[in-house]
Amino acid sequence: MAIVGIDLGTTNSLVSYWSDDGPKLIPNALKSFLTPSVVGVDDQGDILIGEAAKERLITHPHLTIGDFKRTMGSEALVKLADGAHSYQFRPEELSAFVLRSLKADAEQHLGEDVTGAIISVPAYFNDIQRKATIDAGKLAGLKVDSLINEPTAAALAYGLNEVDESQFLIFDLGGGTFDVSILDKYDNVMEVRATAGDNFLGGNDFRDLLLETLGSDHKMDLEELSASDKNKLIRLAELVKKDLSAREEATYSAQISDVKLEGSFSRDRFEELTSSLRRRLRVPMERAINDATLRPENIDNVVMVGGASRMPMIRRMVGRLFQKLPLSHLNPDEIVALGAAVQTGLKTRNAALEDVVMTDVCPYTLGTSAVVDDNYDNLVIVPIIERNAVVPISESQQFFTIRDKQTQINLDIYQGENMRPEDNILLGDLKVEVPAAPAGKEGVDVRFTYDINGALEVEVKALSTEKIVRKIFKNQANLSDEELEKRFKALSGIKLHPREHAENAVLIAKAERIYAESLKAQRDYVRSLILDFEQAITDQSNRDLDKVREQFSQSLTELENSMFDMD
Amino acid sequence: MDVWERLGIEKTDDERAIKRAYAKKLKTIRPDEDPKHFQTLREARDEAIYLAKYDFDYDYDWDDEEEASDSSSHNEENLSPTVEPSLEEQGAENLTLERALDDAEPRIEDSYVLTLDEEDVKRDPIISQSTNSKLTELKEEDALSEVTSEGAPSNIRGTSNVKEVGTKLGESETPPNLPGFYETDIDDVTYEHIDDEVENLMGPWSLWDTAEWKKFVNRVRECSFDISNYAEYEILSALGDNLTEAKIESSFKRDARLNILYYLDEEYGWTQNDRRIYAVLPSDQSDVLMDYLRHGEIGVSHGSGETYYDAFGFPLLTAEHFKDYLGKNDSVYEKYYQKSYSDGRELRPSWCWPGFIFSPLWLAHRCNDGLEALAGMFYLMALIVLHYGLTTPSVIASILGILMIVSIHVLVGVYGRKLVVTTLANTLQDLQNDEKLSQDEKLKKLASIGRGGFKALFDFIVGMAGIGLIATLIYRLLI
Repeated sequence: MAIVGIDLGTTNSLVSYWSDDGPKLIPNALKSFLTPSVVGVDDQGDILIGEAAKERLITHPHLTIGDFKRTMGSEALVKLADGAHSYQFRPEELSAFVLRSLKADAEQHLGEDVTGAIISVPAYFNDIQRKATIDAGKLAGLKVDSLINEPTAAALAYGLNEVDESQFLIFDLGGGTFDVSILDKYDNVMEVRATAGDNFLGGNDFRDLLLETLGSDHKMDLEELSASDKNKLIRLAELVKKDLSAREEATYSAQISDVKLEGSFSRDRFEELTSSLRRRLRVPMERAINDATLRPENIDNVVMVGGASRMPMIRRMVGRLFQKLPLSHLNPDEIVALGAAVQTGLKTRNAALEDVVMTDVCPYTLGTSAVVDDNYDNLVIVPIIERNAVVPISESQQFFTIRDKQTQINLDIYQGENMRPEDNILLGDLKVEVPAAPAGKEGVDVRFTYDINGALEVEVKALSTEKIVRKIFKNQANLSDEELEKRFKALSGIKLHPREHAENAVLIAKAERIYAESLKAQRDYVRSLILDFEQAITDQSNRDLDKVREQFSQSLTELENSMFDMD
Repeated sequence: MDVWERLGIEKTDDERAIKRAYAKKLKTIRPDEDPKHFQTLREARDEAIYLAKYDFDYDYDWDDEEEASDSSSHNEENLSPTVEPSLEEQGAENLTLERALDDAEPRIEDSYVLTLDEEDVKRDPIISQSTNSKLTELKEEDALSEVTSEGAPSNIRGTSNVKEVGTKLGESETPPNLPGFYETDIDDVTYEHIDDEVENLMGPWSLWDTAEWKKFVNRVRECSFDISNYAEYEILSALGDNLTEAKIESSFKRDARLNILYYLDEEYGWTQNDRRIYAVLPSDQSDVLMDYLRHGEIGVSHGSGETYYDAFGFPLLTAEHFKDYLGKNDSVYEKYYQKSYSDGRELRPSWCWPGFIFSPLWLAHRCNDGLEALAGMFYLMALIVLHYGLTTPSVIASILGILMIVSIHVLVGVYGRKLVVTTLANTLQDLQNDEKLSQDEKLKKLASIGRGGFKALFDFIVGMAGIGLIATLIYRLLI
C-alpha cells in the first residue's frame, strides 16, 4: 500500500517514492528513470508505452502519439489505427496508459501494491486540466491523493524547505510548458507567493525553430517530407540543440532520403534565432514578480528546472535579469519527480517532514460577470478570488437585481484575467430565484470557495429568502463518473505490452526505425539482425538471451552513431 | 479580536516578527484541515504586514482613508449600484478596518505594477547601472559552470543533502563579484531615451515602421525588468491616445499596423491579462486596443454582432436586431447606426433623395409604425394649400405655401437620416427597457415595424382616403 510521486511530463514521465533516507526515483523496465510520454499500438494490437513507442513514432506514425499532455482537458480524440487495429483515445486515457506503466514499474520495484499517487501538474493548468489529470489517475487504477504544482515540487526537491529564510523563483522550462513560481520560505512555512506561466512555450519550440532553419538551410520543404524523414530531421535538430549546450559550434552530417545534410550551426546563430522565444519567457516572470509584490532584487535564489533550462543562453538570461547565478546543480529532468516524492512524505506526515507547512495559491482569477453603470453593454468580470490568492480561500460578494420584478438571477462563473466575460473561460452557471421586487432591492450573496486541491465551489444565497444554490464546478470537457467507470472497464480490457518484454520491444522498435531510415546494404544487415534476434527470442531453450540481446543492442548503437555524425 | 491578538503578538512594525508569529500559529492550524481558521489567520498576517510596511497609525481615521481610496480606485467606483459589496454582512467590530484594508490594498499593488512613478524609477540606483557588455560573456559562462560543478556532487538528491544545499544557497546570496555580470541595460537605453523613442515611433499611424518598432522593442526587452516595464507603460499610454483617434484607411496599411500591435501583444502578453491594460488606460481606450488585438478592428466585441446575455440571463438587443428592424437591404443605416453606436460619435447630416422627394411618407415610414396615415394627411393639407393658393388671387399666399412645402422637403432631405437613426435608436432603447414584453415579443415587434413595403403604402392610401372623406364632408357641410 504505497503512495508514489509522479511527474507526468509532456515529453517524459517519472515515478518516485519517499524512502527512509529521502526521495528516490524508480527505474522502469529499461532501468531508466525517464519514461517517454508516448503511447502506441503494436502489431498485435497491444499498447506500447515509453521508449518502445517513442522509437515507433517514426516507423508507425499513425499508431503512435506523443505530446498529449498539451491536449489535457480538451475533448480531442486521438485515433490510432492501421488496417488491423483501430483505437480512439482521449488525452486522459493516453495519460492513463503512461500512469499504468509507471505504476507497474513502482510495484515491481517496491514489491507492494501502489494505490495512491501525487501527480505533478504545471501551475498554469486550469481546473479542467487538473480534473482531467485526476481522471487519468483513476483510469489507471490510482487514487490521486492530490496534485502538486511542478514548481512547488522543484522547491521541495532542492530542499529549499530546509533553508531558514529565503525567497526564490522557480524557473521551469520543460519540453512543452513554461512555469514560473515565487516561493517564500521562513521558519516552518513554505509559501507560494505567485505563479505564472505559458502553456505553449517550451524546449520543443526552440527545437522547432532550429528544425525550420535546418530545413531552409538545405532547401527542404518540411511539409512535403514523409513522416519518417521529418522525424529523422527532428532528431537531428534535437541533437544539434543538445550539442550547442555543450559547445560553441555543432557540426552535423546526416542522410535523409536521398539528401545528405552536412553543415555546422553556431551557438550565436541559434541564440539570435530564438531571441523572440527568450523574450516570451520574460512575460510570466514579470507577472509573477509583480503579483508577489516583490522587486527582482528581493529574489534570493533562482532555481532552474526542466530539460530546456540546460541551454546556456537561458541560464545567462536568467542570471542577467535577476543578477544572480541560478541554481542548477540537480538534474533538471528529475527535480519535479523528486519533489513529488517529498510531498508524499509530507502528506503521510512522515516524521522527517512534520514541521513544514505549505501554502499554495490559486493561479488564476475567478469571478462572475455583472452589469455595471446600468449600461447593458458594460458587462464586466467582477473578480471574487483574485489571481495568486493563498488557498484554501473563501470569499463572497453581493449582487443585486437590475430590473423591476426580476425573479431570477443568473450567475456565470468565469476564470481568467480579462475584463470582458467573452475573453475568459466560462466554467459554468448558476440560477437562483428571488422574489419580484423593484430593481436593486433583491440580491444574492455569492461565495466562492477554492480548496487546496484546486476545486471550486460556488454557493449562491438569496438575501431575503435565504435560499441556497450550490455547485461544484465540473466542465463538460471532463468525463462524468459513469463515463469514467465505463472507460475504466474498456481500458482494463486493452492489453498492455508485457512489462518483462519491454526491453526486447524497444530494441526491435529501434531496429525497425533504423531499417526505415537506412539505405540498401545497411538495410539488409539490419534485417538480418532483426530476424536473428526474433529467432533467439522465440527459441525458448536459448539460455544466452541476455548476451544475444546485448550484442544486438550494441550493433544497433554502432549503426545509429554512424548515421548522425556529430562533432 | 484585532489582527495582533489573532497573531498572538504585540503591535509591531517588524515584518519578520509578524511572519514568525504566523508560522508559529500555523503549526496548529493546518490549511488542509482547518481552512476557515487558516484564512482568518492569513488575513490577519496580511493586514499586519500591510500595517507594518506602510507605517499606518493604528488609530488612524479609517473613514477618511476609505473615502480617499474609493475615489482613486476606478473599479470599486464603477461597480455600484448593481454590484455593491454590502457592509452589513461583515463582522461588526472590525468592519471599518477591514473595509479600509480591502479598498486600500489593491491600490498599493496596482500602483507598484502599473502606475510606475517615472521619477522614482529614474532615481533607482540599480537601474541606472550600466556597464560595458563586451567582455562579460566568457566570464559569465565560467562563473556558471564553476558553481554548477562545485555545488553539485553528482549524488545530491533532494532533502537528504539539505545541509550542503543550504550552505550553497547561503553562499550564492552574495554572488561572486564578476565585472559585467550585473550588466543589465544596453548602453544607450535610458529612461529619457525611451520617452523620445516611443514618441518618434508612435507618430502618425500612417508612418508606423515595422522594422523600427521591432528594433526598439527587441532592445528594451533585453534590458532589466524596470526598463522593460517602463517602456511597456510608455508604449501603452501612447497607444491609448493614438488608437482612439485613428481611422482605418486602406487594408494594406491597416495590416502592417495590426501586425505591430500583434507583435507588441506577443512581447508583453496583453491579451492574456487585459485587466492590466484596463488599469493603465481608461476603459474606452482599453476597449479599442483590445478590440484591435482580438478581432483586428474596433467595435466588434461589445454592442454589436452576436447576441450577448446580461448577468441576469436576458439577451441584449444588439445592432444585429437593429439591422433586422431596418430591413435587410438598408446597409446605409446600418453603417450609420454602427458609427454612432460604437464610436460614440455624433451622426453628421447628409443628403437623402427619397427623404427629399417623399418627405412625409418617408419619415413616417422610417420612424414608426402607423404614421403613414399622418403622412397622407400632410399631403392632403398640402394639396388644399396649393389649391387655394392657385385659385384665390393672392399670389404671395401661394408662393409662401409652396416655399413652406419645399423647405420641409429640403429639411427632411438633409436631416432625415439623422432623425431616423436617432428615433430608431430611441425606439430600440425603449424596447430594451420594456419590462412587460418578453424577449420574443420584443423581437417580433422589432421585426414588424419599419419594414415599409405594401403595408406602408396601404396605410398611406387609407390615411389619404380617410382624411379626404372627412375633408369633403366638412366642405359639403360648410357650403
